[in-house]
Amino acid sequence: MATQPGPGAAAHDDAEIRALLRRSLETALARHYGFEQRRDAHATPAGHSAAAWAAYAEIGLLALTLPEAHGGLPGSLADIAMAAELMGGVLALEPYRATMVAARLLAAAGTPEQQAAWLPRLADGSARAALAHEEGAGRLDAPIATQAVRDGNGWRLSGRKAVVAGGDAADIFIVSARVDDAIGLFLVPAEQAVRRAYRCFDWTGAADLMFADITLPGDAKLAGGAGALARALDEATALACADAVGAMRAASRLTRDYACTRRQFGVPIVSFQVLQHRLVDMAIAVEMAAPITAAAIAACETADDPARIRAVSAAKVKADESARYIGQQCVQIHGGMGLTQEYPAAHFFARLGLFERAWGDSDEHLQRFASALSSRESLD
Amino acid sequence: MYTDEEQRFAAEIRAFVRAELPESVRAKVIDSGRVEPEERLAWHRALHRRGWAAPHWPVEYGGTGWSAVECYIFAETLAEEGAPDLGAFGLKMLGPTLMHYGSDEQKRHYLPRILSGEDIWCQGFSEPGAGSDLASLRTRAELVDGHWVVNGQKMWTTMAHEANMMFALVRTDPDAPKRQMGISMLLIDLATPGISIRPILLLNGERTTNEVFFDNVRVPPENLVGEPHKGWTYSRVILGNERLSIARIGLNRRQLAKLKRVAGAESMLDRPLFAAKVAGAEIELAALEAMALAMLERARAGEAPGIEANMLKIKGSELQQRLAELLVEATGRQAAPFGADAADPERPWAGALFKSHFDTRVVTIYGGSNEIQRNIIAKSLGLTGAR
Repeated sequence: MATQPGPGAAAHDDAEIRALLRRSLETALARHYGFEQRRDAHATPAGHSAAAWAAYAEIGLLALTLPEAHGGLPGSLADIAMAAELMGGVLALEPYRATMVAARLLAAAGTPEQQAAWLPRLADGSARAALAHEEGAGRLDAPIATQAVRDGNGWRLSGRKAVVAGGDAADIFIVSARVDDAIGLFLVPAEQAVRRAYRCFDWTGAADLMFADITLPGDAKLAGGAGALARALDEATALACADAVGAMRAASRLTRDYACTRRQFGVPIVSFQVLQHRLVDMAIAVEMAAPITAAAIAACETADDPARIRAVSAAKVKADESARYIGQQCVQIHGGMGLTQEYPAAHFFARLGLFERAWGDSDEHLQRFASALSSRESLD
Repeated sequence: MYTDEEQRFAAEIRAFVRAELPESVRAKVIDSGRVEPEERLAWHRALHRRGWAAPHWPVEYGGTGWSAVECYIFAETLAEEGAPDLGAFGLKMLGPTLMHYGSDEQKRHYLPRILSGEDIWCQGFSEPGAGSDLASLRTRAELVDGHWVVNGQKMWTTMAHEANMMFALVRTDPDAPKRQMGISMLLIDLATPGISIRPILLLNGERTTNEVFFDNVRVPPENLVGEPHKGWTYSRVILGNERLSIARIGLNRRQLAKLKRVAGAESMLDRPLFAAKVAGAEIELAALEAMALAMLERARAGEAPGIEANMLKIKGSELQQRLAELLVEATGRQAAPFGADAADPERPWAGALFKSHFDTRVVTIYGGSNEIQRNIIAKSLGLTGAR
């Protein structure tokens, strides 16, 4: 551009870029994510679609927001959320969010050497990463038990991480651990972990990791610590909400279409007012979840810590509530059809049901919101 | 609540289950595992030896002569103890129907085989286009050379792959003035040529239900139940029986106990928000139980169960879903892994919880969905226009 663009023009460009990304991804998903293609992808050893992953890389979705020096592309967390939402809508199985959360954490908190070693490979899709933080049942307020201790010039790491999303496919993990009284983050190549990989009920992949007093080089520790981790966990939570919003939209549409075509008692079942009201409540539930999720995504980028915490917890609480209603009604209104493997309804139920369990449940986020509220009010 | 005598009765049943039911089978039931057909049959035979396979049947057919209250205590105690469900199709649905409407020959032949577990029955009611609106069913049977020739398709036929017999509703008079009036009930041997069974795979990976196709299947005339074109009336009796066996107090009590065990192991009862939900479920169960006992009180006085049976089905099934959901919540992210060896070895309870949550969604769908139950209640409350 010849002239200096004003802030309005920049916003316009952002919107245009996002629309372009959206169209590209929609085209790719239409090509690679038919319901049968998804089933076939799940049946492969990797458990997800190599073709879809290659398409994400080609569109540049894996490079979004990463430093351009390491193969990244300009963009915002909102662009990544847009992609997550579309992927949620087709029940995508690839570890996109897991990789992006870890890559952004590495970009924000990694040393220059760590970034140079891994970001180019993550940005072009040739490697995958995952943040290995949760332990046990994954409670939000559980203290980290994994421990790192100094050992000469290096570190010794011991502990266990549970149900790491995308952990089955990751080449590199960022592992949270206690270092004395602080929290440290460590870059651990997958081959150094004892990994138990499996599928979840919603067909996505995950893994449990065990570090049995393994030795890490001195430069395995990231520069950033607890603050960067907290931000990454909030991003993971908000992106999970975006994925769920996509699934909710699609599940609501699927259910509406079914109710419009399924005939009983000589009429489409959508003519029964009790079902109309439920479909309306499903539509309301989507609209309740989507904007507050967008607000959480925005807060992750711009807000201070307390405001971000409140925004993300608020989104998780509302998205959980909407996900529960939509997932359950999707099955109920479909009847027996809603339980079969050969039709998407049950898959939406599974994805939305496990979304509720991920990154802290509603009770934990209510509690976190309340704590943030009281600490803020006591400051005023 | 229960009288002393009723409590002694419950204790006797409990002792029987604990003595006769292998611990491995009981554990499977409690952990939502898959009970094999042989295991279920072995339990059926154990009950049969004791004379308890069908306590609600009249003594002349091998029942016990127990009161409605005793039958209730028996069923709920079995469920609470983790005994496998014998399946309602033969014992609770077809058996009583044959006693009322079957020929002497049908009673003589089929009832003892239902009682002993020799025949395993499935129910051929639902079709692709006939679920809640059962009367729209299309599977036809025509009388050709003295045999009923059946063509069509049944769907959601639970257990068809393990059963050897099916009682089916078929359309025998397509020109009847009302749809309900042209339907007959046939007893169909599943080994008859022309029948093919295709399993329906559920998301939990199990094949518990099926599609059943009929291609010129010849059914002998003596396999018609009662009169031709009266099948709809008989099916109403059957669905009424299904409804009665669906209050699930004992099962919910067992699930509540499991919830407390899991929540305890996960240290979730220390969390006030979660503990309040467990308390809420327990109170719901207490209210439901009181409601069931009130119904029994009326049964003691000889009254037939009324619309409150439908209410119990609705609330009992919703509580069952709530408990399954809370079990998932109690185990958090560990509820996600699924499949062989996926669950954390230190949390053996976790692996089947989301599956059980998923499986439980069906209880507000089958046996007359909760929407249909509410329609029935609406009618009985005199709400006009209720369908």
